[in-house]
Amino acid sequence: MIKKNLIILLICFLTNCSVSNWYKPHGYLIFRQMPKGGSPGFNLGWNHGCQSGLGTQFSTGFFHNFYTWSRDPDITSVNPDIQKIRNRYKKELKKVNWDNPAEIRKNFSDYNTIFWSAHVFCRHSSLGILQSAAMTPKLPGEERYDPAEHSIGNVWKINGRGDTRYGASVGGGGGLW
Amino acid sequence: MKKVILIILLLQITGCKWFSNANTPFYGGTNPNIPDGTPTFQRGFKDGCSASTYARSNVFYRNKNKYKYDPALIGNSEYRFGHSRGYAWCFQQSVSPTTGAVGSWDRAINPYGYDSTFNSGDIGGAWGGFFGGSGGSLGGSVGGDVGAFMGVLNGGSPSGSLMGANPLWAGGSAGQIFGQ
Repeated sequence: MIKKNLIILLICFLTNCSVSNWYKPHGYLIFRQMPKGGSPGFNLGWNHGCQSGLGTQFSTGFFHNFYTWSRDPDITSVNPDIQKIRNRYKKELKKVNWDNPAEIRKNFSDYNTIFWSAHVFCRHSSLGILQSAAMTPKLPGEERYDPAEHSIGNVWKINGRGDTRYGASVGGGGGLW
Repeated sequence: MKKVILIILLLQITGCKWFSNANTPFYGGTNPNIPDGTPTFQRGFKDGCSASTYARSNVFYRNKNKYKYDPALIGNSEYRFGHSRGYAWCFQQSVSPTTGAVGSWDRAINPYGYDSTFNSGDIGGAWGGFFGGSGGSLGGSVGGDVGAFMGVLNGGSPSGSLMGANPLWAGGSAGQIFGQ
């Protein structure tokens, strides 16, 4: 029985690993939504965009410990140093045919196109999820963050923004409005 | 006769707007209208809408939607245009105080929220104490405040316990059906 449970746990653990950043806050929840079937440049751009989005002020200072601005300046460059990029992302871009300039261009283009889409989505999602848990980050000028207000149990709060219960107030504790 | 009914039924079902938009997100029980355009544009619009609905709606919609972007169409300007328009439009819909999916389904009753500062007060004190302010003359004989029976209905039990409060119109409390 214990062996079976261990195997199940192991499988769960290993399948999680296929999602980048799965061990970070919101990591598995959001990064598993990366569309499948994209080019290596697409996948890298999506991951970098999402990391950058989660590393913004919208995600609270807590997330800054795990995510930060990740856009690659060399891929963004109008005159990219191919060899430098190739060495930097040996694993992520290993499927790129570096002898084919058109394919390289396509991957770089995909990277730059999807970066902002992922950035905006992850930034919005992060704030949206925090608002649902009544953990809306403080704005500059508001009172400072009080850790005592929040706990890990907040994820189960149902009276944050978006309370779907019948009669839930949108002007009182039940929502932003 | 049976065949005719069957044909009519089929026509009705296939012509139903709900049926054709069954896989799109919806707000307050209605589906958003996907604007006219090429199929590629409409697909982009739907995908973008799904992404922003996940991002900014409530838990219900978050379970229904996710980030969508077809990597095969990343080079298609129509798809990208539709995606960005769908994302922006549904984002605004999600966070809107009137159409947004951030409150309960009965929000249409009072779309801008309840006034939490309003207090219906004590009905026993209405008309200068007609019900409740007559303790001086009647208190001794009829057991005090004759309007007290209204008290529980109006403002809950004197102890303020949850169970004692009237569940329908406990004034001033947010989240009641008729709460102000």
